[in-house]
Amino acid sequence: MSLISSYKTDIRLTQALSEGRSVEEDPGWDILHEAVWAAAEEFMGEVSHTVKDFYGRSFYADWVISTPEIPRGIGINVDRKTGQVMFIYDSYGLEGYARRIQEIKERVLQNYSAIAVSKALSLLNYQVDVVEEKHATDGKRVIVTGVL
Amino acid sequence: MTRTIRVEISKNGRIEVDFRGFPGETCLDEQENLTRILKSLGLWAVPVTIERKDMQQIRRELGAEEERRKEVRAE
Repeated sequence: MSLISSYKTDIRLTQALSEGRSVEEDPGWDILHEAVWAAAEEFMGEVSHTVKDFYGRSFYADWVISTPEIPRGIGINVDRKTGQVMFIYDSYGLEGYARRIQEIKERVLQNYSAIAVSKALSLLNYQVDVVEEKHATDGKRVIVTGVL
Repeated sequence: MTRTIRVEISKNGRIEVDFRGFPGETCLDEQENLTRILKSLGLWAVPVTIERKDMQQIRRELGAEEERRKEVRAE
């Protein structure tokens, strides 16, 4: 018997927290780091720790992606108590900003999922192959194949 | 027979997983293993749909597998 299943996904870094360690030691921390940098590169952006609001005030975040279209940046923070991943940004007064922000959020989640799935299949001893395809509506689709 | 897990990841992180070549109910065990490891890696995957393949789909996959083996033997 074989099956096809689909899932909604969410990033929550709880493994290290459940073992009494800090969230920075979670295996997901490095995956998120990699996913953020990959997303920044795909949108021709830079990664820093400073996100700005409409008034030009600066706020710290674990990672901030800034692109020419999103000069204020979109911050990615991990809650130290719950491991929940949050995106912080101020889209006030800029047309098209919210749509661009949404694209970056989705790309970070997509990259994270692809990296996590690849690692999970490797841990299950599968031989893993990753292919990225351009997609008309999604922009990008990632196919991860594991063979045992 | 080769066991294959093909995972397609859409833009919003939604994933579709296709298990091929798993005898009996073993794909259900592997599905559990995969979601458990994903959770430990910070990716919480909530099932939306789970479809068991019908015999026609499985036969098609077995046929494709046999073809692949023939190609390998021919090489």
